[in-house]
Amino acid sequence: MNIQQYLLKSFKKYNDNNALFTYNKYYTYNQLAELSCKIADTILYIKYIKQPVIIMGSKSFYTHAAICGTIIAGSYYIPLNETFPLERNMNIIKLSNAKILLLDYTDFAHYDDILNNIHNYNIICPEEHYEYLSSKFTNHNFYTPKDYNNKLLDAEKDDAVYMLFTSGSTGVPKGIKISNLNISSYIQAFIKRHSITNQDKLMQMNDLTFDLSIHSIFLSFICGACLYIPDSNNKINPNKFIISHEITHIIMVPSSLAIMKKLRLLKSSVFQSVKYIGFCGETLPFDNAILIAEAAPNAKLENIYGPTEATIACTYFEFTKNTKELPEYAGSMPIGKAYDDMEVFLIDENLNIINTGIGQIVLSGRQLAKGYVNNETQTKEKFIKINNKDCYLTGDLGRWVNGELVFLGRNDAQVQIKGYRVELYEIENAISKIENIVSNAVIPTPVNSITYENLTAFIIVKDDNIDTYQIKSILSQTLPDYMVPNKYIILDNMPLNSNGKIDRNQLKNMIK
Amino acid sequence: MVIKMSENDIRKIIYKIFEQNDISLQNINEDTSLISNGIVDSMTFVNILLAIEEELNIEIDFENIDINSIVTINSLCDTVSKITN
Repeated sequence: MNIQQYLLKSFKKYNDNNALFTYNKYYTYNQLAELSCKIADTILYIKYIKQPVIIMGSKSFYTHAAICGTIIAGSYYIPLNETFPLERNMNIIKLSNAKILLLDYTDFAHYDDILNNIHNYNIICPEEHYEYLSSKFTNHNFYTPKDYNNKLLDAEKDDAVYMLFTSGSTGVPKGIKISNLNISSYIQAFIKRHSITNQDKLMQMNDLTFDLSIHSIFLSFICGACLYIPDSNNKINPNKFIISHEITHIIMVPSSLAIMKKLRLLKSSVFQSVKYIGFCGETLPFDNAILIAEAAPNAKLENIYGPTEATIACTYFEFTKNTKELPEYAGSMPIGKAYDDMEVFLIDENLNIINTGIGQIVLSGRQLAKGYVNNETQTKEKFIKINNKDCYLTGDLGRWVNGELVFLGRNDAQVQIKGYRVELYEIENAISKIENIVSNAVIPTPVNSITYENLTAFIIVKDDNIDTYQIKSILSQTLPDYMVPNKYIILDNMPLNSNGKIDRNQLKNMIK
Repeated sequence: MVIKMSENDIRKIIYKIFEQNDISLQNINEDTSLISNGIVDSMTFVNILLAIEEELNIEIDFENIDINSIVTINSLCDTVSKITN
């Protein structure tokens, strides 16, 4: 079954059950169904084809109905992010080729900057926003969700469900379309391992531009569960939210766990209601994993791994508080084995499959995207055939330990910060464009750690009158928050190695 | 010897700690959430909270505290002052 059918089935079946809790209010499946179907109908009224649709929102009921409505229309959604700089959101709009935009302006800060920078878009907004928006932005056509009795366009297995963008080294994000086949395969593999019922409560704490959000949104709506969206302030302390709402399923990045540990929140048996916690997006430190196992005694725990290109995650390792740490794990929890319908293996530099030693992690199977949208060079480089199978080269390093895969970091200048894959070159490139900066290098911190929290930029300036706040604010105009270094160290000379390249090890030593 | 600190002293210390973490609080609404508005990322904010605890030799009960009472500059200064004195 594809996602469009799954959603329509849930809408018929779960009626008065709660579908969503957000901004302190509950919404039922009936309410979600009604608005989603009107949105789908309006999309098809504007243009009766399968098409890309931009989502401008973050947490609201309307935003979730917009996502569902786009899929029910047989189209695919592209989320923007209110915390991204204008330039990045504009790039995404441009690269998506979308002409329809779904907007809840109460759910997206600085929406007006975007609307003023684009023209003649078809914008579907909540009825109560129509008058205000259509009088303020005369450069666009506004619609409100209505029934037009259009016949839905059936989504096929290769049709896209969503399109996300990852960091590209040149500064232009790379678009990845995930199809019905990709995401259905993910969902089936997950449901086979862990049951989710219409009594369950899934917490969704990730931005829509991050594919962990897709895991929670679709698993919840497909299984008839209720999706809980915490306020962003709860990122500091999700405990109260989890406990008071009796959350049953959580997916989080390991840095959220690190925050909970730092704030002394991981006490034994605090999370009684939780049945499942998955960790994804970064290396999971072994000792933190054991702490959460003790804090959530009734939960099945998994470390899952996968790039956006292979649909959310495609390997898993189940652990308990009794899982034994081996020296070969290098301080982290293994990422385990492949999901059903996926294959994972390691290759050496000559693309030969290896079973011992460290190699590059390669993925193959039904969850793989077809490539980067309109980026043939990058697609050819990363999506290749090995033994006649379509494969994706992750650029991640791993090693087999007793049949379980262990993640050992990146083989290039890409690092993971707060679950996002970040190209250090992209940041260095942005810094080099600032006037007065002669040379720079960015190092993830804490150095020699298995998970990074932040970035330090080393810079050489022409004159001393440069203010680090100024550099930061210039970078914030082009880079998302998680890519803006939080520390700046001004040097007289950049240390170089024997090849004349910047000596990153010496820079790391300066941070320690 | 216990030296009672004024609210103003505490505010100064908190501002200094933000500055040490390269977070500029100039032109910031002191009643707006530093987290929801993306002024500080959550990891840096946590590191700042721990630095405040260490500097003032206090312990904030993160488990039971209302999040809203620490996420704006004014509420954070208030909360910390209450704990300190």
